[in-house]
Amino acid sequence: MVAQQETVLSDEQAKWLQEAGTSVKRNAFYMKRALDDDNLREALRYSAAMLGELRTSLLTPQRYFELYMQAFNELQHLEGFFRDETKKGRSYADLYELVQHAGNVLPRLYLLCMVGACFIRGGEGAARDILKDLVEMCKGVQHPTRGLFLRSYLCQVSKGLLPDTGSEFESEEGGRIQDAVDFLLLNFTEMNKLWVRMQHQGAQRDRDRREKERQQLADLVGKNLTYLSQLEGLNFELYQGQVHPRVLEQVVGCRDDLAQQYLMQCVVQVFPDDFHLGTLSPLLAALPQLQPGVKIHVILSSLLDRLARYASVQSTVVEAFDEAGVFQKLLEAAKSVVTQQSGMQSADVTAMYIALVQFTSAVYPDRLDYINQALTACHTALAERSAQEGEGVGAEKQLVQLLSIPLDSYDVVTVLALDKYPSVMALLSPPTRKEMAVKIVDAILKTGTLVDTVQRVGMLFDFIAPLATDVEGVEAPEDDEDFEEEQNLMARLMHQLKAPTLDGQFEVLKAARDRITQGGPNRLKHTIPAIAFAALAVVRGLSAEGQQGQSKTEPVLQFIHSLTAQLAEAGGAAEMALQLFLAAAQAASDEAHLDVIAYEFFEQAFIIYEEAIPDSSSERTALASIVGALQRIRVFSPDSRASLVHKATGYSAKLLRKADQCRAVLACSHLLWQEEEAQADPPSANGDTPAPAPEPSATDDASPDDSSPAGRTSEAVQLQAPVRDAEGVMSCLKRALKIAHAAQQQTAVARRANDTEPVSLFVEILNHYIFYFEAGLPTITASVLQNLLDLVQNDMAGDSCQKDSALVAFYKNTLGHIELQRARGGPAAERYKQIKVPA
Amino acid sequence: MVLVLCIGDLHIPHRQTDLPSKFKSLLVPGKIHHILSTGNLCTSEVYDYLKTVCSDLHVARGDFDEPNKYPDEEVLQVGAFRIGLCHGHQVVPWGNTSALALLQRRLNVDILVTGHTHQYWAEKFENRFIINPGSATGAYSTMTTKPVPSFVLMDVDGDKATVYYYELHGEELKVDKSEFSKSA
Repeated sequence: MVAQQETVLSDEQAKWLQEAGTSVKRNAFYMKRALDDDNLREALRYSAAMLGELRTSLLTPQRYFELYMQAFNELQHLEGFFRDETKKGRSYADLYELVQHAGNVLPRLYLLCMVGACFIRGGEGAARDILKDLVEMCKGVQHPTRGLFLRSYLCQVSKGLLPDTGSEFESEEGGRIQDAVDFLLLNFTEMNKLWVRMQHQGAQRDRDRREKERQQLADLVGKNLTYLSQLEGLNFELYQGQVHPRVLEQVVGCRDDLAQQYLMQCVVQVFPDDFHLGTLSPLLAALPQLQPGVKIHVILSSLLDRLARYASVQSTVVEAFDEAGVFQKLLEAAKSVVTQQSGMQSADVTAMYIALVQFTSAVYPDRLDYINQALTACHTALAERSAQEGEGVGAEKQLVQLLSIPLDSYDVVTVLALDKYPSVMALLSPPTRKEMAVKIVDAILKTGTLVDTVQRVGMLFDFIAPLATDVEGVEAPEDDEDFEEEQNLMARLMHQLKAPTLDGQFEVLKAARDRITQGGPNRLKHTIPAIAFAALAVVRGLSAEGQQGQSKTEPVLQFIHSLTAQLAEAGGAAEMALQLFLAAAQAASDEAHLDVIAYEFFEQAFIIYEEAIPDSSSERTALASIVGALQRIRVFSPDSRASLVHKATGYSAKLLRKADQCRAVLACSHLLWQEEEAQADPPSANGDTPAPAPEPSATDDASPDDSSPAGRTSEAVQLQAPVRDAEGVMSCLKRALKIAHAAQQQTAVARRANDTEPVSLFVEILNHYIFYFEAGLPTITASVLQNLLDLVQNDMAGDSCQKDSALVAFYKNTLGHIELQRARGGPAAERYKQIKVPA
Repeated sequence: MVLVLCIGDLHIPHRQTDLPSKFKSLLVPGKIHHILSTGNLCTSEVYDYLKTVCSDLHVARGDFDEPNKYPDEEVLQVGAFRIGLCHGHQVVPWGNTSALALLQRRLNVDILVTGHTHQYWAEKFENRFIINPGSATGAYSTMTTKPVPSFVLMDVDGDKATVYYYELHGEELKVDKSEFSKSA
């Protein structure tokens, strides 16, 4: 409907324009012919007729402009003729009189303007008087569009003829800069009045279209200001004393949204930076008085952009800003706009503060307090508005933008000092608040910023509260995956909490723990492992500094203990808790040399294994980890170690499947045979002297008077010599064989004749015999190995085994290993020579 | 020529924030044909990331991976090589060459890729090859006191494998190379 209407309108417009244009052309033709005939009177008649077409009220400003330009071009001919006329001796004063005879006011005024300009240019008349005359006479046209174009014409033709300082038209009679300013200001004022009046023309329903048309005319009005700013003689005093107050008076006084919006920005754009600095107070004072529909933040932000650019070019400007108290003025202005413009949208309020914070971070990079003040003011304004309206703040996009400025300008640790930041964040809706928190964490991770003090950790957690705790009003995350991603982000963040000293680091981790534990069990699960590992690194650091032992490492290990216990209690994280206990046990042994604590960690791991490991696959992994970790431990006295080994071996035998049992028991055999350390004494040359199970090396300096583990507090002890219990290994291996036999019988009972698993267990056991044979265990003699080898060879001969290519390869590889070892030379090779390898 | 990336024990987010950016910029998508991961990716985000580097991704379960997500062992054929993959926490004593060789005989593989110790290591053992690419993030380890980030890129050309080993010391990237060919 509307579109259709507009097409009709536009068709009509084109028709009217064409008609008027034709008339302009025709009259121009006759005008030029009259000029050729040197018939001035006729020429004036036709030119008046031509200009008469501009009296139309039918055309839109856009079309009217086209017609105006057409007439404007034709007028050039007349102007040229006038110049020639004066050379022939006719004075401009005569011409000035002559054109007054034009019948209609509009053509007459156009002609007067043109002649008037020639008059000044020719030096015949005083610029001051003629300009004053013209600008006053133009009041005769009060129709907005016609008047605006007429005055625009006046402005256009008189450009360069003003009695500006240093201009050839400046003189005692011709006038001074003051007259040039007066002329432009008066023209500006009159044009603005016409422009504003336009909105009251015509029907109310056409208002939108009319405003659009008015918008198109804005530059005609603004041209006066541009010319003003281009005056050579316009110094600061003149600007401050006259131009600025008179322009603002007009702008504020016209009470028109469109005009105020355009002209305020025009003022900001056209006049120089230092003028703005000097007139900042009155300029800012005008802002709150503007119409409610004016986008004040847009004006303010162009002003602040200019000031910031000004400051970036000249270093002395910032000092000048300080002297002028620029920041305080801006802040007060923003506050006062908020107070007086009660209808201002929250989004616009925020946009205004965005401009202010951007300005501050650009001009005063080290004045964080300014940013804080701006945030405070913004928070106050928005909180009040939302309280009054009884609904949320809205303005999410702008608030996010506002909060992002400090993150982009400073590193996050600096931003943490903005104590008002979290309150502004709190104005966001919960989902957006969380997004903002994610953004903060991302910024830390991306830049690798370290959060290095307890205080900062506290502030950080305030900032990212929506990630660390449940937020009121938000349901628990619906999507587990999203929640997990969020919490993984938090876990990664924990590694950025890093103090320069180990003591400080421990404090930082404790502070993080305090905050993390407020987040409930679901969050704990993700973040506790990260804190625990960071704490393990502290233990390692202390050990590297030679600070093993109770006073330093014990509190850290206790901290890890309580964290891991919390994790175990949280539920659903049993495997992780078990692994953490094992890692901590190894640290307690390797780094801190605290046997009692290491034992406690193992005990906790065993309890979890017994009570909380959910399925057999997890059981296998958990048991492998327990055995692997315990195998390495060197801190335990033989008694403590024996109980743990006993327990672990017991678990192995309790696994459901015989094959799993057998493999686990084989792994447990290694608990009784630790490797020599690289720097320790090499094993005896022929390898058949058994290393005796070592006595507990209770040393004088470490554990002076107590040999019972139960009664001891955690004193650092010396590491024990490696365990070398050849008998124990042998009994483990025998146990494995027994299980493999049982498995074999089981398959027979179940008539699974093709099940080769028992045989592959035998091959695996054989390989363990080989392992220990090479390690030189006195219990694994050549004949023991030979017996097993023969047994396996016998089993392997079976049909089903021969069909199992993986098993055949395993066995073949095993024999191949023996061959290679035998060929290699050295002590093991010698002993291998006693072995008869089946062909 | 087939490029095989061996990478594992990242332990994100439990022990480290991220893969070093230097490594990330080396691991551009579209260059690598297979990834053999020694596990401990810990989260699906890390798995997804590796998938973007190369979609043919094989992962062995690490002691910090979710149960039942990845197999304990895997064997695959690349060029002339049978390659076995196992995280290594199941092989006691941890990191022990003889124990790993035992696993290698059982899996019947020419090359065994294993992790867990967070220490790069490559050894030729009885005409077979064992590689540990270390921890790609240089994560804390109970076994290695000062782990550095490392991974291995294997260039397999028929029966010849060139092993490039990348290690990050602070900001300095060190690259080392060794060769292994399959004897008949």
